[in-house]
Amino acid sequence: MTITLDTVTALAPDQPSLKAASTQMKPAKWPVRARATSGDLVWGECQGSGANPYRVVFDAGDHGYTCTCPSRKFPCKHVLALMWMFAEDPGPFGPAEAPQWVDDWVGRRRKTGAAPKAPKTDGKSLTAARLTEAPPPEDPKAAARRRTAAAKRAQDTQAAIAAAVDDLDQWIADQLRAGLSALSADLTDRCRAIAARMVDGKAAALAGRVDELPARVLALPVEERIDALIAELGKLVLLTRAWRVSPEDPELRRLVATAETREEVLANPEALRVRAHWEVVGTQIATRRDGLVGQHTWLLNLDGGQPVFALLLDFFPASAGRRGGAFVSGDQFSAELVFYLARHPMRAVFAERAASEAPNRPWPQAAAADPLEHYLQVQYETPWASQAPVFLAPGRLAEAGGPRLWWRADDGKHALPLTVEPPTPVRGMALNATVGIWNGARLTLLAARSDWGRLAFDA
Amino acid sequence: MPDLDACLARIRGRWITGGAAAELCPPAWADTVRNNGDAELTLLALTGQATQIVFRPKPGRALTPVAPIPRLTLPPLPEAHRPRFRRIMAAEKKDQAVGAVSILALLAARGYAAHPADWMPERGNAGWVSDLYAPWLQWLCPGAADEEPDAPLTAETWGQLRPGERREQLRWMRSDDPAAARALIEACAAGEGADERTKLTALLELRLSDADRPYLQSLSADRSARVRSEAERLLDMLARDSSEETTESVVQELMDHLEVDRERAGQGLAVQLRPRLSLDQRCRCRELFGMVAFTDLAEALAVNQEALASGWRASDTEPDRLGFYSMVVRTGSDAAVRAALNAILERGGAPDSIVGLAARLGDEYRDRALDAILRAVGRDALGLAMICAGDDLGRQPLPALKASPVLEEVRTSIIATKEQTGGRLDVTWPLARLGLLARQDAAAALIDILVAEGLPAAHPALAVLQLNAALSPASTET
Repeated sequence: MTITLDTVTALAPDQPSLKAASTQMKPAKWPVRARATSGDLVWGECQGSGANPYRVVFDAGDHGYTCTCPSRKFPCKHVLALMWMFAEDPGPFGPAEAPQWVDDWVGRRRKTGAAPKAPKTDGKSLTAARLTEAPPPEDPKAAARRRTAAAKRAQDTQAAIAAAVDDLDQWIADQLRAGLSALSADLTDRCRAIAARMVDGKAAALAGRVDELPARVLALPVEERIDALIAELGKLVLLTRAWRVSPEDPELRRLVATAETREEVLANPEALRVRAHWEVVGTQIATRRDGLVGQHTWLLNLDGGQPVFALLLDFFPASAGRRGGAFVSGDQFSAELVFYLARHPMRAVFAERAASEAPNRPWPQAAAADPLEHYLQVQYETPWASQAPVFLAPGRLAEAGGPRLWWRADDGKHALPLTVEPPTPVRGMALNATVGIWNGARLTLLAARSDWGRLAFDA
Repeated sequence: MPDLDACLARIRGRWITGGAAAELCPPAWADTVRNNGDAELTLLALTGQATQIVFRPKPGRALTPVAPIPRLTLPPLPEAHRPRFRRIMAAEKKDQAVGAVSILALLAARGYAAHPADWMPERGNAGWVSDLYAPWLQWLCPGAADEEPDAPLTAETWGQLRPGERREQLRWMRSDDPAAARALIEACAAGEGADERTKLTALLELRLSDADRPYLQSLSADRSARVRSEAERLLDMLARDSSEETTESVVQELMDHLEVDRERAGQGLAVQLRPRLSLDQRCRCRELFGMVAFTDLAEALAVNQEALASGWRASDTEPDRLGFYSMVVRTGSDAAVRAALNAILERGGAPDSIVGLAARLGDEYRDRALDAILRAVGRDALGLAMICAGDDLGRQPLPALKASPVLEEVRTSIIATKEQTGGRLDVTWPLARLGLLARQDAAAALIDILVAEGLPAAHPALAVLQLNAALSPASTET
């Protein structure tokens, strides 16, 4: 049993899906395409609109499939595109051992064993899907009207954001006057209310940050919450003041209103482009209060150059269900990343990616000086940043008599408290190099190279 | 810095209760606070940054690094096999298909220990975890020593090593130099508790010889009944001296319950329980099998041990047949155990009779026993094969496994599920066991056979077989 073009047509939920699939069939969008050495499994990775690629797999035997994209169409355009490419020319799909994420899918699925249904095309057509419709000729007057309307909209948006930012400053000042103990007691509701006003004022990114503030503060012990509240509110003030000075600054606009699209980042000639070997050092997935799931994938530059870290950031609706990460901690690849314009470039998207030809590259040497040097540099350039990755020199975990564990440098000069206690065995390992996230008060471990090999803490 | 700290404390105090704090700002900040818009918000921004940048968290007490995890006598599983091992252990936690101890035994049989990041015993696991992991159990104890012990075991270093590590080293020593290991136990065991003395005594079973007899006899005066019992068990295996006082009356009582035919139809000696024994008499027989030394019984019957072991004629339905074999295993010679196995195999005896003998069989005879058990019908046979194999896993060749009716059942299930709509295939249990028993090449061949039948190559039921097939012995991996 295999996939034919008729099968692809029959599986497509509608003609627009086929049309969308036809736009996903450029080989450059698929850095990975492979088929199992035994069995009918075919899989690929498609660079979609998110920072992370979508992982797509189907069984050519029974036409089962899955994709990590959040589409509500089944199959989605990525599955259809992969099937379509495979049906047309299986040549580029080299035989390979199924990776773990494919194994996991096979293990989870309930195979029907039934023969695939006879194709029903219902008027759907691959040929029609491939037809490119010529854009209608543009009316110069209509184009001018559109431009004027867009400029007006931008102006209105700017004014709305400015009003929202003023509102936030006023709200913060009110909290200081009324007392932080009262705010602390009613933190979630108050933040929720001001965040809603930020959303109305088109300051969506700022709203998200305010909305997440209670979760960050309330996770701390009671005695540390006031200091954390002062730090968080202080950073909001720094951000709003910076934005007022340069409202068109792309980095500040991203942090206050909305981020550029992937296409805009790729097309920006000023964007920093870095080709290097990267290792995935951790993925943090968290559901936010606004119903979005944020997926942070941290990459370490193995070539020892700058930037040391890159962040792939994706959001998708929690209602789309559980979604596996695109990468596993420890994955290494060679890639060109394009960084969002920023004073300290960190967030990036893939421009091009290939599997690493030497998959077990060592980490670069961590600086033995101040472990927070990178964090301080980030704070110097962007004092509104609430956290930054750190690359720690040799050390090990230590106890201070209480329940909290500390990372301690081997030279004994520096020690950082941990956010979460790692698994017991890690306590007894020599951490030759460690990557973590420092939030100004706590260290969240992501990965380490130890005397027992590589450790991942994001599982 | 203390001034700044005090200033920030006052500002914090003011904001906690509510009110303006600009007047409390440090003198160095005064201009900045005054000349940058809202003074309170400027002060807030400066205070927040100072709290996180200038002052760093400091531990309340001096930091104590946690002691390093001790290295085990076997190397950790190579990186390439760890993900699969983790998946197997995670599935095992949920399904308990074969038991973590068996998977760890397969690793050990190939010359590896688990990686501590993948699996580590818990404090309550001491009862079933192999002594290989004893150093980790000790490390998990709060009072574990701070330094990694690496001293070789001698009478001088005895006190410096943890009990589990001592036993592990003694086991290696006993394999190489039995007399040195015995001498060390003799010199140092007296200072240990009864539980530890019992375990140390049990170590002498490895390469047990007449040279151990004087020490074992001296343990008859030990203050612990458990130690005395263990020593007696080992002495029984050596066969007691004829001069030693024997429990003649007990032997005689057992003989009274037995029917002995010295020349049954040309088949040699035949021994069985007397017919029509009452329930009480059968119970007594069971007790007597546990009390009498096989050597004493053979001597009393004036036959050699091998003839007596192969002369036992209990049918597979006889509930007391296993008592006899446990007596052979407990106190018979190695030759007697082998003779018992041969007799069972010749008569096509039940697998559970064979399993009882496994602990005393060498590799060759254990493989024969396993071969016979694997041919038996029923999924229980695989469970019995696992018991028979003990920790000696990953040794069975393909023909032995292909002969198992269980494999045929699995193949039938795969084919049936393929033809069924919505059918769910559950072959994890038998395939995990076959995966533990199979030799490396046999595991690879079994995967090929099953995939050819239609089982997806990535089916989770193949996980143990795949680990086995990929895991070359430590001595051959670079």
